[in-house]
Amino acid sequence: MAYDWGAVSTSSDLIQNLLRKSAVYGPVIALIGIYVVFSIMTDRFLTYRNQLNILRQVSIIGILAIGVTFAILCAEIDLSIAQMTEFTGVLIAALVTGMYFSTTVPVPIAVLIGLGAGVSLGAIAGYITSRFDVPSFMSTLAVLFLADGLGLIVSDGRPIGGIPDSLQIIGRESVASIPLIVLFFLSLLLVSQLILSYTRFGLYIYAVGGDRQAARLMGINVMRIRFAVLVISAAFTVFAAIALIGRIGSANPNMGSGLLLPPIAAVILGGTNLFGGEGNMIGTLVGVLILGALANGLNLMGVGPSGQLVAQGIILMIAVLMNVLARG
Amino acid sequence: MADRDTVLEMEGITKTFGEIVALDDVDLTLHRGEILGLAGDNGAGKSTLIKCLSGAYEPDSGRIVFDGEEVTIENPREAKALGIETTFQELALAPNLSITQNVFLGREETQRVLPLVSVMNKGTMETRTRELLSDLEIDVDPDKRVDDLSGGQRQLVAISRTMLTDPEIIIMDEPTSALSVEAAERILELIERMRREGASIILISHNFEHMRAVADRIQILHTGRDVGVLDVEEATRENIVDLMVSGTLESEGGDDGDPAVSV
Ligand SMILES: Nc1ncnc2c1ncn2[C@@H]1O[C@H](COP(=O)(O)OP(=O)(O)OP(=O)(O)O)[C@@H](O)[C@H]1O
Ligand SMILES: [Mg+2]
Repeated sequence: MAYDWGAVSTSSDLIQNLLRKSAVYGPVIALIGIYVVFSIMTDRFLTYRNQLNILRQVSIIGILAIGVTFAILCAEIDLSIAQMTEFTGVLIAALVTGMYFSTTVPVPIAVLIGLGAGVSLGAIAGYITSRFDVPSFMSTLAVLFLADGLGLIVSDGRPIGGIPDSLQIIGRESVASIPLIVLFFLSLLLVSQLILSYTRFGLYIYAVGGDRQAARLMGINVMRIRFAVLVISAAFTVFAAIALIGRIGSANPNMGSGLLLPPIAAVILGGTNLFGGEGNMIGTLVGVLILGALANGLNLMGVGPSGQLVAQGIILMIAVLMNVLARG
Repeated sequence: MADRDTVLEMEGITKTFGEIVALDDVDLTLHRGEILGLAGDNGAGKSTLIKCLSGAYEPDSGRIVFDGEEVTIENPREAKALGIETTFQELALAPNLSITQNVFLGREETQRVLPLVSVMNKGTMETRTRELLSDLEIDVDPDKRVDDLSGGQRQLVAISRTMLTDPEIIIMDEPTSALSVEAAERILELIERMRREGASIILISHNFEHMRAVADRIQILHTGRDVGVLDVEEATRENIVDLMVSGTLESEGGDDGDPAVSV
């Protein structure tokens, strides 16, 4: 008797595949839809200049979204990103402007210290979560408060000006009219996607996010992976802080306001599974662009910030529903 | 005391989960090149016992002697490093990954592309997976996600992992529970082939026919206790059932049978 293993569940396969594809293509279709609508409604939307504008506007949220994508793929979350951006930003600014030592600290060294501080806080959350199985929304919530307080302590609660030009390059300069901040964001995105697609570490993030117990039984060091994604997410807050300092030309302990939820929303808008194991950086780029294009287009049409928030809320609601439905 | 043809000895293994005593002072001996069946009612402690060996659990007390040396197996990585491969009852497949990714999970082939940068060798792994699948006569695309597979296909994918390396001990926890008669027979053939190639095997099954077809000895657990080992010749259905159900051999001779029928 010949039996055909492949034919066992063809029709339910088809439906499942369609739904799963909708998780991948849904965001792209939504983005195209937004582009079509705004291109028709206003002729200032689809210009080279305005597109660069959108990219520049989304870069900082995008950088944070990359870090959070690592966490969400692994079925973790990082709630501390906004306060971490503030803390590491004011720390670097304080060092380069000589608030602490009698002399100013050279920019590269200040950046390294900032990175070290950010990674250390991420490591605390990562250790508590991976070692003691404390949900990451709790451990990173603790870091949120910690970083918030540290930011206020370091900056004395005041904005820090007089930032040297070399620290502002990424946030301010352009190459061939393309803002460096955009190139910075896209390079980080590319490298992150390559890590996810081609390295064992990237695969293990998916494995742990998909079934932590199975990953452990197959010999994956689950603790190390969970630890690492929270450290990576913390490192990206330092990248975001550097870009942000250049964009606003100073650093202050409140500069992260509004930087927690949009990156997380962008990741989900991009089709990454809320519960881990599915998604990628390209999706996150699409999600970030959906947020950015929506705000930009509505702005061009004269809709104010409140209307933009309502629109983003509606889109996010649909996306979350799709996200869950697509996974049955 | 290290018997030359004893590859593994578990002594006095005890494991509790809170109030539940899953294993109470259990011994197990595995001879080199043998297939040891492990039988027992649902909840008797079979999976718990082999999980102490595959690093999924750490026993509360007891010793494990592997190749003449006492070892502690703290996690599945250490078990694999020792050469102990397991097909778990719960399969341990990541539903969101492809068959190839699941087969190689934890031991991906990589190649160095830059100093410090290694990437996965996806082509090699896929070719190898294709071979394994055709060896087990599973006609599915190795790129397919595991959550798109049928229950039997998943079980076969989990089993195919043991063929990837050349382990010293292979543990199979109910490897045929979801399989058709034909597929189950192929797995039994596979088990015998792996034995011929030098592996020592622990097979857990509720199917006496499967067990008797391949096992040399059958050990029975009853409510977390070790109630005896039977050579396959004396392992009649009645004997096994008696031990499984009551922990003693009632039908033998009529008087209080000695439960520990050993080799
Ligand atoms: N992780 C766990 N937490 C709590 N109790 C457990 C756990 N794993 C097993 N047990 C308990 O230990 C006992 C033995 O379970 P085990 O899975 O080893 O049985 P088994 O012999 O493999 O049964 P089956 O034939 O049904 O697979 C059961 O009473 C079970 O409820
Ligand atoms: Mg079991």
